[in-house]
Amino acid sequence: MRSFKYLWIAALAAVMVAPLPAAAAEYPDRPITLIIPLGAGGSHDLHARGITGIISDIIGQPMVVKLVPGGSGMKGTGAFAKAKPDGYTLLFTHNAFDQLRPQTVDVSFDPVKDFKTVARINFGQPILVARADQPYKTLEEFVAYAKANPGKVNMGHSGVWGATHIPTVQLLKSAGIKVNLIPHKGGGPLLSAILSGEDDIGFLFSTQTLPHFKAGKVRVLAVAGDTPIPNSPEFGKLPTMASLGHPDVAFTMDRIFMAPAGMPEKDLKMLRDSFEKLMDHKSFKRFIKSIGENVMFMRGEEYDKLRPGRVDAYADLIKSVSGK
Amino acid sequence: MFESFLQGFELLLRWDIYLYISMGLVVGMFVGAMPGLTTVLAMAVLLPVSFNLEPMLGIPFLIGVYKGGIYGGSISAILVGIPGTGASIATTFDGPALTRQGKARKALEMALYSSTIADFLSDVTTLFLIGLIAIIILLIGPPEIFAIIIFSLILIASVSGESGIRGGIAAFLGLGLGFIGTDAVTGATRMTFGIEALSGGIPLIPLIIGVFALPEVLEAVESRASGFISEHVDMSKSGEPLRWHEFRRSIRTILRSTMIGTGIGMVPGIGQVVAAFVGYSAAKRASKTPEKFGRGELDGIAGPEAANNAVNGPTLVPLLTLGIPGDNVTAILLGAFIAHGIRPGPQIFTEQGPLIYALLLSIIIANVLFIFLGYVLLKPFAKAIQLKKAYLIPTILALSFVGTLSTGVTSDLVIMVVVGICAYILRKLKFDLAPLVIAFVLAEPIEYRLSQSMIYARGDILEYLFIQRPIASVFLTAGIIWIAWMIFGPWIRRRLRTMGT
Repeated sequence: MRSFKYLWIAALAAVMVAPLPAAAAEYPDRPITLIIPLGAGGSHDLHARGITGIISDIIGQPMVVKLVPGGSGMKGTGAFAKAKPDGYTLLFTHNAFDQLRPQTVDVSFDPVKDFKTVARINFGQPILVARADQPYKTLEEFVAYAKANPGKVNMGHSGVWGATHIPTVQLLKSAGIKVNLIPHKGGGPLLSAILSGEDDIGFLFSTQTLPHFKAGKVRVLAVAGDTPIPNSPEFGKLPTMASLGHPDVAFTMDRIFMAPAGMPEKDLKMLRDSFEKLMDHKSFKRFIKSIGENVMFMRGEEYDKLRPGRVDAYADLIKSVSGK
Repeated sequence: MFESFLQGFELLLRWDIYLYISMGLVVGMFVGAMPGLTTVLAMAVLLPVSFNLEPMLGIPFLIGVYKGGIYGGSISAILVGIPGTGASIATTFDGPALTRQGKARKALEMALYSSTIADFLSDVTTLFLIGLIAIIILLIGPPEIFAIIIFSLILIASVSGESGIRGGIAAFLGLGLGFIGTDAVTGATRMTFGIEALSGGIPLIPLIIGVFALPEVLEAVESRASGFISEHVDMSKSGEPLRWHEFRRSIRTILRSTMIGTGIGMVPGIGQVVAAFVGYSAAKRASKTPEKFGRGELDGIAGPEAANNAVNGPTLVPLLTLGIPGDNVTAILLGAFIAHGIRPGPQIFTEQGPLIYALLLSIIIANVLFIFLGYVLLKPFAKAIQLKKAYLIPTILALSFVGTLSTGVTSDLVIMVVVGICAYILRKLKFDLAPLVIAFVLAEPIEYRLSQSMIYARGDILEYLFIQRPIASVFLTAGIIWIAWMIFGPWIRRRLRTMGT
């Protein structure tokens, strides 16, 4: 009975999206379930809809999206950790859920030990965005203003230990400032609060920010990390946090595909190769461009080398936030 | 502006748009009618299809899926008492009762007409007042949302308060269940008793199936055992259509609910569920026969169905004018817009005016198309229920399990059965479980919006809510006056009467 629903969606997806692939004798010989620990309509969902439609051309089997939101990503991640490690259940997540969030709550899995990265597709770079009527125009001016008026600035974020909360606390720590931190449920409500005047400033991603920046409603101060935003005429010249003396404000949201550590090595290699091939697929390139994103691919083996170090860095950040 | 409106009109002069809308409506309706399969899921699965179509076909297609899906959810709510989404919970108060009286088709038609009419009116209002609605939406922040939810709850409670204390206990139970999971403000998990499946909270679909469908089955089985089968209704009458005089009685309800829904639609996130409950409560309050509500009253279908569909128009406004989706459905639509190179935002009407007007008009037209399509398609559903009660009960039971499993998470099945057994016991103890579900749905937004308001207030929450935020203040004050009137009203009236004599 359990598979009834999968078959139904798989059939629908297969009929609607891709020509039905021929059955292969080796892995994968049946549809793969892709768990996303986030809700419908977000950037992960959007990426996955495009990717799953194309990857089936390469791996020969449909990949079926299953959204399991809740518990700040831990419900879906837990469901993935519990699934049989045969490679027929994969996870599409981001680094905050993979490397930080499991440290803050009691969970039955250890992502670094239990999961392996298949591929990093790209990353989103949080931009510090302020409403246009604010008295500061640059990051330095904002830091000076916040120092002169401790706790007065309403600074929003998209939820505790979410993708824009992390650069926010990194900045507060690096600049040594105090603000009134407002939690929201995602980037949309945060943007809405900044536009309506409830919040003054906050980190957002470029896709959401662009129309309001063009309309002159918001100002952009800096981009997290040390890499300027690629392929963006509007935000390409925005200074990076690293260039402004805040190298620790480094969080970028890496969109990563994970596989269970227990799956056969040769099947994992096949998946990693398939994702590398995907990057050169014409439809995929067109799709990524159409949703206003870039490809910033990294093979799973490379990304796995970065993860333990990141986990330790986040452990320090968590300690410094909860320790004060 | 008028020029791009006319250009938009020209974009609609091709027949294939209507073909795609109709396909969307039909697919959506069938998916929505499968218990547990949600409209959101259908839209997400079909989103890639729209990528490959041009925008004037792909987006109306998705909108068709959406509108068809919402109505499909009402079909399962009416026939088997399993609401597809939170929005059609209120429809299960009278829907299944009407089905058992052999009035399934009447109820389905009432739902169809009231939802399409309300949707149509709300979409037209939105088209003409989009600028004004955009301004109002930005005025509604966390404290206002908190105040509006509280006000709506008072409104709902004032009508359903037959079993005062029991209703209160049920509501508190619902709040408690709603607090299980992850605290949205601090991110800590709480009250999960160490069960990982509960870390995201109790999922809505298993809960409502457990509360509404399972006890129904258990009670039916029980009543048969005690010889209640003689009360058998002639199910072959299920095919009788709605008569004009029956529909006419509900026109006022539909218009009232349309206004309620359009208003509440401007509140992000909670719109449809709250609107449906308020619409139902308002219809019951205005009715000459409120005692019939909950026992199979057609007006009890029109009230929530019109209200939850009237929400649709205003929810498009933040999507179009700010590029901010208010819920999952609009988030998927945003994905479709972006993939087609349309960037919703403040300049969308100057940059892509004709296309946006054409899309808005196609949404309005979808409603008109659906009245006819729905009318034809609902007949087989009404017919399907023309079976013996003996078959109906196992069907509901099977659909409860299949519907719950649609999330693909097996632990949901356990949740559904546990909730179902508890709900059956509570019903035996004469508890009305509607307050439990309302409180469950609203527990999270109430807590969350209040916490946010307290952070903004920096300490003095009352001063913030009542003085700094005038709109919140109006709703909270109105709520307090309403409660005072319910408690002291009869007493004051009596005093006035004695003074008069």
